[in-house]
Amino acid sequence: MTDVKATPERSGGAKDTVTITVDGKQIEAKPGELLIQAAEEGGVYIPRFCWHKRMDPVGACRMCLVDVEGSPPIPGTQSRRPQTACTTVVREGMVVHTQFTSDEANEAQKTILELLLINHPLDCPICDRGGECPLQDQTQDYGPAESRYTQQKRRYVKPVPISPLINLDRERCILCYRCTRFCEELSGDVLISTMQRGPEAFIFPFYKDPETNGHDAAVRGPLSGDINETFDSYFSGNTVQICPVGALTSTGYRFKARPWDMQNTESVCNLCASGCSIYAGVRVQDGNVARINAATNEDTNEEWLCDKGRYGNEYISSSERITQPWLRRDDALVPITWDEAFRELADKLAPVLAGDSDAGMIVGGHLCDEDYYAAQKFARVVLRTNNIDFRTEPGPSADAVVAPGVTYDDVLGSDLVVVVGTDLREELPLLFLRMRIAASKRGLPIALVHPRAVSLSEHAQLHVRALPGAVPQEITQALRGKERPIVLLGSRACSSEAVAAWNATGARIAWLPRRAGVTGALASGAHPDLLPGWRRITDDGDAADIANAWHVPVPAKAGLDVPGMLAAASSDLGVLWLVGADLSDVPGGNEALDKARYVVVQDVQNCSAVDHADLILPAATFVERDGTLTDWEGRRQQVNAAVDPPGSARADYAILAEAARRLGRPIGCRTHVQVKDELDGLLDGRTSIGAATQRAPEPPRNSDGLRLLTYRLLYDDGARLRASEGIRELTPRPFAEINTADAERLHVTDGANVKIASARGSITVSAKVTDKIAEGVVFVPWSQWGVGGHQLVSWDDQNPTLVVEAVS
Amino acid sequence: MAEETLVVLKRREMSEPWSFQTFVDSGGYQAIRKAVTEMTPEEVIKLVQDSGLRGRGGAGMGTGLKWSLIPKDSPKARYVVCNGDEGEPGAFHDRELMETDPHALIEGMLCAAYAIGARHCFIYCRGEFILARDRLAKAIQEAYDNNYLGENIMGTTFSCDMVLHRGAGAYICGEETALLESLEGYRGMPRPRPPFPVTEGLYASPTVVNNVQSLQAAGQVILNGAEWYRRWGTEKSPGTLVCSVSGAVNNPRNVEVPLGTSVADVLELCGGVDDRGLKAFAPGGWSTPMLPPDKLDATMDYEGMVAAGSVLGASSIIAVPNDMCIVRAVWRGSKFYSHESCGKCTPCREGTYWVERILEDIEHGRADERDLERLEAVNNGMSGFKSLCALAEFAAGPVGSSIVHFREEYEEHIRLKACPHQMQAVAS
Repeated sequence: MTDVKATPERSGGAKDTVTITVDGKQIEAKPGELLIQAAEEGGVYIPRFCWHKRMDPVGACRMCLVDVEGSPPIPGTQSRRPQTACTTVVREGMVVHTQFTSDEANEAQKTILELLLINHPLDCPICDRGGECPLQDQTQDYGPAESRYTQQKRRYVKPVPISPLINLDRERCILCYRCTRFCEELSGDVLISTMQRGPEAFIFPFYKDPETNGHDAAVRGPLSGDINETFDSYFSGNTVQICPVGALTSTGYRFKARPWDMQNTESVCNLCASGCSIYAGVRVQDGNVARINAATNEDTNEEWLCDKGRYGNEYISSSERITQPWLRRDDALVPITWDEAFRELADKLAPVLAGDSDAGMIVGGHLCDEDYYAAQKFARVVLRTNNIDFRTEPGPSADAVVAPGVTYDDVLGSDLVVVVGTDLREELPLLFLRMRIAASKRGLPIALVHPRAVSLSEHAQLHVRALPGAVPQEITQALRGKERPIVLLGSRACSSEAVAAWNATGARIAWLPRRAGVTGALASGAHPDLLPGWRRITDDGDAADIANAWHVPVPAKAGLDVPGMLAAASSDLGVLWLVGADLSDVPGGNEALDKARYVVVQDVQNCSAVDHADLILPAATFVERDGTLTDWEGRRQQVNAAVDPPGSARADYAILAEAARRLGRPIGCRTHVQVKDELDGLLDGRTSIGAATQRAPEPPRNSDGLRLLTYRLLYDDGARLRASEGIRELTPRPFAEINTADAERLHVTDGANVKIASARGSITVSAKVTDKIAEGVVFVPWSQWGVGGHQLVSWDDQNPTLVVEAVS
Repeated sequence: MAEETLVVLKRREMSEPWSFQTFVDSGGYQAIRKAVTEMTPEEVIKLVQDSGLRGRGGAGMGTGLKWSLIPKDSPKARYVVCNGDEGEPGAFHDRELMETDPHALIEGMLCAAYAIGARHCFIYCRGEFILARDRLAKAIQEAYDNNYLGENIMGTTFSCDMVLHRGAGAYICGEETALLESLEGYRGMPRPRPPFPVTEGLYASPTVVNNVQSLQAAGQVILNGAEWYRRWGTEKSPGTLVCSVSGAVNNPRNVEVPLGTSVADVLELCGGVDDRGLKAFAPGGWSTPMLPPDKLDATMDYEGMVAAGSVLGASSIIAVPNDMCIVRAVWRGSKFYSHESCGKCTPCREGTYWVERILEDIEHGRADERDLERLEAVNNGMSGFKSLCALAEFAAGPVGSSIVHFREEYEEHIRLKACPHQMQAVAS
């Protein structure tokens, strides 16, 4: 062939692609790209075990050996040295022969597989990974049909639980180092590593006595009892998902199902507002959700998931589920039919519908957009009230609402991200993970405002240890002159003063709700002062829009917020209706329910509210219904039903729609599509609520005495989490972090019990004396094993002053 | 009769050659003085390139060429690292060089540092070399005390610091990228190359990693000139070479000869083959393919050894005596490689493990004909440059070459279902 034409790239300026030839096929690749990825994008899949596109290449498994023209010769042969496609960078004109066209490459790969299998136990019939195992698949495709290995295989104790969630089978491990690299490069939780070396090498958590290795010639290696520090990482489950064999398995999924018996439904996790795509794997034989895995979503979670999202859903098939309506009769709960339930409702709501009494609705934080929309429409159209609120935790007032708009990409592409008053690893683990990766791999600039040394601190260029509400000058100065500055306000840093002050810096700001449904609740108007589509109830035009859409006037009377409803539950409110709202660790929650006149609990499982319920309505979980969830970015994603709800449980919106119909004031909303369409019409491009009114920033607080800092840890007392045994085991006991200087002054020693009292209440917990927390601040997690900061705060003061004394 | 040519070993017969006084009295620190006061870094590199000095660590890359590959425009710090982790079975010349002439190593490293613009040097000394460690530590202190290390060396603007690091007992850390990992405090496991250390070495910065002998020779080259060095050796392999000789010779020791000297002459310098007679020899340490006695006229240089069917490697001749069971010798060697494999990549980790087991079975009379085929297949499979580093090639060398030259002995083990040498020992 002499017909060589100048390519346009060559005649033009700088080239942004290079052309390589793989198996005779021309492929355009990005300069600097690795051959394995370029080939895959061009349609030639080169087998691999260790290589993972989101981690640095390591060249360990050698499975991706290919023949690259121009490589040095092997002395004494006609062959060239094979090259690993995972460590070879493409160059213009590179000619590559893979296993499809090169005998040498094919033979090399076959050899690697034979070697990988000599010590692999081949216990595929009882291995969780069997059926979706890269080692199985690639052996089938490229490996030898028979093994020539006749000697004894390596033996290890198996499996070893290296955490309550993860089991390790070292015999199956092929030492690809994906798990250890994930921990080193991505999560930063370096809790497992390679021990010993050569054929003796194995992956393990750091263990106490290396001498325990090799005591038994047949079965070797340390046991779980020898582990110094368990593999306690919020992201440990990802190592199971990327393990190319069944060496790492999930305790909760072990022996539950075979991959070919499972139907995977793509959905969105609803355990926080990160917006992670997931697959719910349902074993078709019994209809149970056997496991949750991460699905790939480049916009949000890439392909990762936190352990709460992965392992925190055991409640779905727990015996605590509510599967039918119940009614309290003579102080006992008796099962009833839906028909009876609706009649009871009609009876109890008659005075409300007649306008003689009031009612209120508290909605939880993990419902779908459709549920919030239906609930607020039910409140406003059926109950004729604005008493609807989702803020069982501190949340924004109407003038502090920051409409979403900042995305993951915006954050990761920023030239300064200021994170205010949130410990992201505890609150939005995936946003934390992606920021951590960006910071450690390419130096994403981060500044922090938080009294504690939190997980992002080690990556922060600037860390001002102040309570939420502060707008430190160092930070506002650092923001000056930045091109793409972003300020991320934690869920508790949402006072209108703080929002206004951060707005004034000129940075794009985002408010980070912790709970999955909160952005949807705001967008849908499940807030006493907001209407659907970010409309304000005080704005006459906004209210008229909604009245026109509904053909019903919007109630004029100002609605009550959560503390207002709790206070009125024993007096003005004839009925208090809780939709997926657990009030057990909400200040004043249990007391209010105790005194309430009539309580409707609409929920998926037994919770403390059930003890106070007069009527219980069974709701479907997020894997049992369709809908949409809006994450912290405002990204609305599809939630899909993977299984049927148990018993006669139904989706929240459908319960409300049916109740409205039976009460003679229909709200539509019969199907999720109907609700979605209606909400879509009202959202219609409206993502702005206007800048918050500018006010002077809150003056720095007087630092006399100690102030409380409290927020939820990822593993807390959440009602749904309690069903997940492994996570329960890893859930920290309550504690109080006290600065070293404060502790000295108060004669508090590390590990001793301290009594911590605020104007609202007091608790006794174990003290952690540390410089991780700023002087003058005491950190107590919101709620751990029934004890926590929720017992100390009041609705008006989230950072009350404290009296701390050592308890002898 | 061949004679020894003492260049890097020139101080071996002096009294306390490791002392600062002996060193400076015998022309020490004149090379670095010359380099810093009379030459530009580019001239130093060119001089070493012109001398044709090739790395003595095994790969034989031009020392000056390696220095010239340090990117001129990198904003990062540059480093000089001396690979003193001599671990090749049969090699003990770097140990003698560090023990006898530690200051010559410091001087060679200073020359390299000046040439590439490094401010910091590291000596990675094998952990077991206690005496070498002590003498290097003392020499470094003496050099600091006399302003040959530290700020403004010899009153010039050239400043350089040196750190002595002891290895922790891993053969693999003699592989330069594993050495760098270990020096950084990580597990000693090789890195994928490219990037090569000259662009991304220690702390991801441009780094020259040179062998002890290469650095000491470079110092002499700079002092005496390229032509002086080219008086010895061959066109492509100029200069002298220290060979460690062990096994079936009357006087096992290190000898320094011009490159191109025949193996026979080197053995002669060691008192000749002893009474047991010569069965085979490995020319560059146990990891290089062994050769039969009819290759004794092969020459100790890079090209000569390749022509003879082996490689120069660590220029350490192991003379295998006639009465030694070759299967047993190779099996014992294979235990070393399997033990020393780092475990990072598959062919080496699993291949050395498997080969060791087959060899054990053959030596103990538990193997049949298929096992010999299998041994060859596995040995070929694990090698052929499939691994991340050369350890798998090293492990495969003695196995493959012993089967080529001593196949009957393997077959005899299989036929007898026992080791003939063991049977003889029992019988006599």
